[in-house]
Amino acid sequence: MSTEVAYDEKDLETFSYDDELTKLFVIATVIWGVVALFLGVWIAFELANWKLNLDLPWFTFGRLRPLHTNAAIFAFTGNAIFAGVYYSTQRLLKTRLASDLLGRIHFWGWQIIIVLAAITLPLGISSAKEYAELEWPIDILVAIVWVIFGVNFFLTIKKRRERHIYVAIWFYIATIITVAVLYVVNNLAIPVGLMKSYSVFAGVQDALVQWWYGHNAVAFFLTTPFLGLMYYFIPKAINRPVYSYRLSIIHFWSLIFVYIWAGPHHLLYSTLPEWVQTVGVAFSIALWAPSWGGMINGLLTLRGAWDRVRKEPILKFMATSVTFYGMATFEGPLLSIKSVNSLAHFTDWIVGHVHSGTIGWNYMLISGMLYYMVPKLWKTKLYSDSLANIQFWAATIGLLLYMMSMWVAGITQGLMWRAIDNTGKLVYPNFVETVIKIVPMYWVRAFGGTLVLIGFVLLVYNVYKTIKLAPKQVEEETFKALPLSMNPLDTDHGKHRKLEGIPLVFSVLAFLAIIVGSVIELVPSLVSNQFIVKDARVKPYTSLEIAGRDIYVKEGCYTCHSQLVRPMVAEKLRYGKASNAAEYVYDRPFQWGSRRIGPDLHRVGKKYSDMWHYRHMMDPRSVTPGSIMPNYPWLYKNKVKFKQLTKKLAVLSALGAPYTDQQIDQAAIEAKAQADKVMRSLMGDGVPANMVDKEIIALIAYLQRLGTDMGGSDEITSVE
Amino acid sequence: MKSQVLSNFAWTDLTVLAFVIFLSFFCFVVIWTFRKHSKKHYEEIGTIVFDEGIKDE
Repeated sequence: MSTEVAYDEKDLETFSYDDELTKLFVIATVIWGVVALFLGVWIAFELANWKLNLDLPWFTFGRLRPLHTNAAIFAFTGNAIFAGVYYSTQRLLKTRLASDLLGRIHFWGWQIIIVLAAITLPLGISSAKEYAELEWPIDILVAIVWVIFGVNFFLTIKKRRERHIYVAIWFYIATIITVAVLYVVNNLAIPVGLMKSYSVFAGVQDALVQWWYGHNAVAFFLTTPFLGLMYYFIPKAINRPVYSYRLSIIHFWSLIFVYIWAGPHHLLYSTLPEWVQTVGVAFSIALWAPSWGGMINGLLTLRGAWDRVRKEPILKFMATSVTFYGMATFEGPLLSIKSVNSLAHFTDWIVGHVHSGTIGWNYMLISGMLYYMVPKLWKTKLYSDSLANIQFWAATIGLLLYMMSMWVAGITQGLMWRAIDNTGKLVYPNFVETVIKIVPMYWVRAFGGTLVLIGFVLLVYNVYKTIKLAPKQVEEETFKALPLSMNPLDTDHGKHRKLEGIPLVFSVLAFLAIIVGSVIELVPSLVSNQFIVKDARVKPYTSLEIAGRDIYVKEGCYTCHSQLVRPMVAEKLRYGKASNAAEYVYDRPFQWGSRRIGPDLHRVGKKYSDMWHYRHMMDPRSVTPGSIMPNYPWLYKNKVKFKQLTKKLAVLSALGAPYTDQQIDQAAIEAKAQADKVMRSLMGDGVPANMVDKEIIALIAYLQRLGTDMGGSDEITSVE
Repeated sequence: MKSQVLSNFAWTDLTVLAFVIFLSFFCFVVIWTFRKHSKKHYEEIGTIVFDEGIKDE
């Protein structure tokens, strides 16, 4: 508002914006966007046809799915956030970025992280916690780069020439603070080597921390920064201020306060304490209000200009993104209602819901934002409006196909899982029946995803042509504004302007808003020894089982198999006794999973013979006709790294597993002895003796142990 | 000691406390943003997006 203040020409300061940095992030966004979307399409086709796993370790679904999610979240939307944040923040604060150098370190640091992720995840170097799969050295790099981003951002606020901190910046501040807290806490782990670590949390506690993180990754990486971008780019694109600035303030505070509590809705019917689940549900439902407040504010900003929305691709993308934001934030609370969740959890409905958010909200807003920014940054016009329009329709139709196919697949499979006939038996006792039924939907989803990808390729071409045809050697634009010191606070609004103008106080308040929920939900569960009633029957894994478990983690088995039998009749009939919190106390990380593309495995121990598992991992269809699981031929070639086991057991012991010194020292010897035992049972069926030191043996040992401490699948007791 | 205290804590009280904190804070924010004579002020802030400084020709 400096333009409204009477000023002397000579008091004006001249400055320019660091748009070169924004350009770098824009280019990174389009490149990683193609990669992330291509990976999504590829793994979608893998589910439709298992042969596309190619029998190669680094192409299997279990390893590529984490790469897809990490690429989509951190590479594609991450770079887009940074591009949008740097573009808007400098303009909203009327200042150049505090440090060009820190900006470049941020950019290149982030790209190095992405490249490291793209190398390590297909190699199976993974900590197996969803959206937090990166191993500890990369985690440290993420934390450092994030702090550099934060420091540069806050220093920029400090040297601003605009007294008021516009609401978009509030959302960015909340993002920077919260992501730092979430990421660091959830990734706390003790390293075993450069590329392996064990989570400091185990079992139920690990699950609670992970989904506090996982849900808030959605909240504070895919939502709050995008709401900030919405509050900046929609008014800019339509050239009118936000519908209600007051509503945006209420939206901000309610949203960040409420969001942080919602994580436990990912763990309903689990062994998490009931009160935590209930709190998670209550706050998830409460989220309806602030989410819709924000959506309505965004849409009403476009009021009276719908004719332009019909014609201009930028507005089309933005209006659609806000609409999908509304849909996704309606569906989310719905899915968190316990009775709905009992049907939808572990099914494709959840997958569809997530993509209505990431494609509908993030992809659409990013596309609109890029079409807005690219011509401005390169000082030219967009190459083709019609290409942008084609992208819009391809992406919209693709997304609708995606969502609808996943609704059908999810509800169909969920109902099949729980169908019980008049005699009290499962109608579809073979899990694979429920898979074969929904494979046609996997084809529809893959086709829909392809349309979304093709749309984005059109955007890349459009952006490329726009940049190529842009005038070269344009002089950098400079601007003038009064320094903050010459722009005194208005006396009539003194106090409140002060509060809204002090970023430090504001940041502390925002931090308090997110920390209240975190502390109340997490801390009692984490520090309380009484939280999990110990069961003497539950023993730590043997060294060979640990080796097998690490293979399970490495292959990303959790991307298709859960390890959590919920206390429901149908689950008891299908899998056995409901899981108990005490059974997970040695699970680092927990492996409950979030989607049952294959059956739950928590009671799989001793359910089948060793030979069944041996044949199953070689060719799942030889024992389960119609299975869509990949073959794992390399498990029969790779050797178990027995030497590492002593170190692994030592770390697990330091974290609380009651191994004796002898068990730790003799870890390799004991593992070999157990491998011999497994081998003997297999040799009877003609398996060659030289398999004894191969990974498959360790994996079988682990799978046969699962859920057996408390009686395994055979001990049927009444539903808890 | 600490864990004993925490494990015997009545959780419902904690969550009710959180709800009360949130509700009071929410009411405060609503009253604050809708206080008298603030309409013009917020309308002005809403226009910040259009002010990128005076273009230096």
